[in-house]
Amino acid sequence: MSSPIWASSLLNTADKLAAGSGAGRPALADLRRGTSTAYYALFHQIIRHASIACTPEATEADVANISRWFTHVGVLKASGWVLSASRSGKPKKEDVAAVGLLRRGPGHTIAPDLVLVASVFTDLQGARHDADYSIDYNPIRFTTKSHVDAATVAVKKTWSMWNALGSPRLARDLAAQDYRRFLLLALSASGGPRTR
Amino acid sequence: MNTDGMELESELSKVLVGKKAGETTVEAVSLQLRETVDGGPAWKLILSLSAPGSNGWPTEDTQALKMLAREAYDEVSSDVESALPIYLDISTSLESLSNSDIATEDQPEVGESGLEIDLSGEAEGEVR
Repeated sequence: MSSPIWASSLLNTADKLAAGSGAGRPALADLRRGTSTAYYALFHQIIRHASIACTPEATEADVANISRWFTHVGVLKASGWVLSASRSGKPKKEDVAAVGLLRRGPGHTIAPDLVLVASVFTDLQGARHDADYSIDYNPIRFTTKSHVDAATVAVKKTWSMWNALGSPRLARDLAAQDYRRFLLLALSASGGPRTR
Repeated sequence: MNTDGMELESELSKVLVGKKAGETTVEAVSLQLRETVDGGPAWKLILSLSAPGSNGWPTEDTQALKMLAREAYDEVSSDVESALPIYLDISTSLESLSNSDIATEDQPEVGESGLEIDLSGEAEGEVR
């Protein structure tokens, strides 16, 4: 049996881990895994969309293959370009091409939903790195819950932007286009096809 | 943290402490030097917020405050050519929490640590 990795299932797991297994103090290991799982929910949703965006006729096997071409650093980099594009001011020299693709031209405002996804991804990746590796990681339950809540909102924003392509509402259609540009950049920044 | 980091933390405190979104207020900020996934340096900015409700902080509040913090960082580091990447997290003062909100410390099983070799079960052939 093959089964895709669904962000919603990972979010359910993350939610249970953040809630703890009943009365009493939460286990640190649960909070670590809660944050990590919330991050992976958003990561998997983004790379699934990106895989389908670059091969619209993809099968689940193709999606599974292409998903492995993405790196955490690549998606982080693309998120950084979105955040840079959303601000006024000149981007760094090395970011000009990517930020220009997102900004399109004068008068275009990056979709707020995409900015939210990019900022949640950036913050969650940092939190996940701490949760997975730092021996000084010592979160409270509410911090972990905030990670799960933020991932949940961000994943839902990706669904909304993905499904908005061709929407008669211009702002929604533009958000869908912005999102696809971000997905393209995530793949490019990840380095393209590779065999694992 | 170096002097630059302390100055940055102080600048960010001035801008962010007291900022409010909904019922949630930034009460303190702290900056820590961390590393990104690819091993480069990054700042972790922790916003210490007013006490959460029983269900945590509203996500729209925390996202709005994080957005403000990100803007503040961009502002104060705008003239720094090699400003480090930043990621944000939230917490609150432990005094505002009950014990059940604070994680227990994980403890290793006997024989798990690896820092001390324990041969006490060897004679009986016990596998540790």
